[in-house]
Amino acid sequence: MKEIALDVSHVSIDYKNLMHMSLHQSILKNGVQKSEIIRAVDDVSFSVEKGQILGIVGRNGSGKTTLLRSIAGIFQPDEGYIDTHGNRVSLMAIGIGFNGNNTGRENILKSGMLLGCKLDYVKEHMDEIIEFSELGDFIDRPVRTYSSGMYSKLSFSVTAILDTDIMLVDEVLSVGDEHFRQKSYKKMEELMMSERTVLIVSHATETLTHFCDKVLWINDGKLVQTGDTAEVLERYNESMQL
Amino acid sequence: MMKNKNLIIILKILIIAGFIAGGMVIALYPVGNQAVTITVDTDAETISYTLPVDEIEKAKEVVVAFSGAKDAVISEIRIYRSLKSVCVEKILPSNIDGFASVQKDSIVFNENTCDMLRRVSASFLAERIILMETVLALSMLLWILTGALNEKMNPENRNNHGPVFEIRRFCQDMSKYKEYVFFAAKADLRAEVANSYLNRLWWLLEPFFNMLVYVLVFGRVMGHSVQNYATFVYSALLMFNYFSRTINYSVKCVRNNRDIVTKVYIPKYILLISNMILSFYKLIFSMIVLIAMMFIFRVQTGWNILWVIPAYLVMFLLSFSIGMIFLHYGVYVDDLGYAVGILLQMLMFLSGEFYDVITSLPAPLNLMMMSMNPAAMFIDTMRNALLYNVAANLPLIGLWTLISILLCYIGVHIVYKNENGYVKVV
Repeated sequence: MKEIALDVSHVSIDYKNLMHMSLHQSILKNGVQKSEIIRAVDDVSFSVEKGQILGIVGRNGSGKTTLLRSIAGIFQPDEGYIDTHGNRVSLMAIGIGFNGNNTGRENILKSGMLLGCKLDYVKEHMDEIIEFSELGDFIDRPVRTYSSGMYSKLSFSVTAILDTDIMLVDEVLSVGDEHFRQKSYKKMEELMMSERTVLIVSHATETLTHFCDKVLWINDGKLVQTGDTAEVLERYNESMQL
Repeated sequence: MMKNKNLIIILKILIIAGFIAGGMVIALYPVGNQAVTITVDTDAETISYTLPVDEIEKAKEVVVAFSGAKDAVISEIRIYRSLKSVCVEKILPSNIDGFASVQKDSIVFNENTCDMLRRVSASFLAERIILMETVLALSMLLWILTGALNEKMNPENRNNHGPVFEIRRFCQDMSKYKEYVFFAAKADLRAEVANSYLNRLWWLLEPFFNMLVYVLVFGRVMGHSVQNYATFVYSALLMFNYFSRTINYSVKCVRNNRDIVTKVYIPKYILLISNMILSFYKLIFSMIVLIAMMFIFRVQTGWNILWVIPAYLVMFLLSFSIGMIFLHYGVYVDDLGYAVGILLQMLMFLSGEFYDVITSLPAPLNLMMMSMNPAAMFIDTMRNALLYNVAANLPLIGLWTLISILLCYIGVHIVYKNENGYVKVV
């Protein structure tokens, strides 16, 4: 039995639908209107072993991203609890805190620090990140001059190189050109070999079959099935057919 | 467990009762007339003269003797009661003729001054307001302490947002994000000027041209009775602009940083602090211009100029704490930004950027403004120290420091309690 890196038990997350409103609305309607409560994640529990790679599949709007976000600590679940056993968690997303007017280098530092790394640590890995991102001279130009592919390559590199114990990947593996895609695949394989625990949300079945040890299928916020990759994906794909 | 809960409720009721009772006593307690002191500040020395109550009643003129009165340069005459710095009337050198005539070895104050003395002697309003604010602050403090007690007594309430827990967490977060805060401020600053031709020079040019406008408009066109009027206005605006910029930013803070807030966890006030540091860097450049301006206009300064520092500290604390409260409501209420903008505009004209609150407003109003409007208080303290070498209102500034620290705690509490819901809204 391997060490458990992440425990999610009976987690439910509500969107109270408190959209922002104007002053007069809030006065007239006597405070916050408490009408619709949307349950985005409903009583989901699972646990991930250290070094395991878990895929999460489901239709659009079934609560995958919400689940990842609450694992990353961006918001707390309304019910249940998430225990990361003291591991540092990072949600791999495009351009965390990127400012278009800053150079790539500055944005790497800022992004890295937002992921909870120390400044010196990010500086040490700077060259590695730049090399991985294949940006070359562009790294010292403002990010707003980047093409969208370069932009995502840079942000992928930051999270891929900087070491966090648990990595949450939200459909970003299709980043960049074919060459970079293969490279990220290789990087992911490397990560798989290492001690990192990874959670991937993806619609690409081949990616999941390639990487994942285990797959989690969520539909309408409810857990449908967890288990062996091939098995779950097969059933999932059946349900997705027209 | 149940007993603890009851104890806490009883304590809270006691605090509310104490607050109401204290307020009533302060509002209604009859206070008799008091002795009044006249202080004359000259460039060389400070002369004080105290009149007992019965003399003030029938005084027609007051003679304050000091040698060499004729040759001395009088910078300010202050009239106050026992609580020295709270209730003050001022006579400025520019309108001294209406109140007194300067003889060879004395100053003779006339009927107008005696009226002023009687007014100062009889009024207890300012003290009442100050005491009321003190009671309010103490009640707040006790309330928070009760919360801490509640937290300590229920060990299973670990994740509850008790004061001890929150203050510890605040310190931990601050040390964790220390590097980020400074780095982000610098990066944003660089980003602002990244594609302009004159680049960093703008940080100096902007305050410089502002200053030029003030010198021309306020110094020359609107010839004014206040000495060094351009510096007077410029220094106050620097301070108030920082305050209003911080609060204006705080309303939009979470939404402006959507990219960060939806992708990683970060204590939301870190974003506000980072912006405050950014404004602080800009403030430093404006300060350089201000110092140059003081040299050009030959402003006389002394050791009392150090009071500028506590005045600024209170301003930073207050803008942070108020900013945090608005940061929370700004997430949910769309048009709070407009409301806050209007309020700040009003506050700007009420806090005396363009005039001296104490001398320009009529009698009870000036003291009320001074003791109830923190912006008027910190601007006046800063300006007195900077331009006239006058020491600060220690009780007043101490009181507002206490209030802003308490507000700070309340802000941190609100943000910690609600920040996990922000992502769902923005």
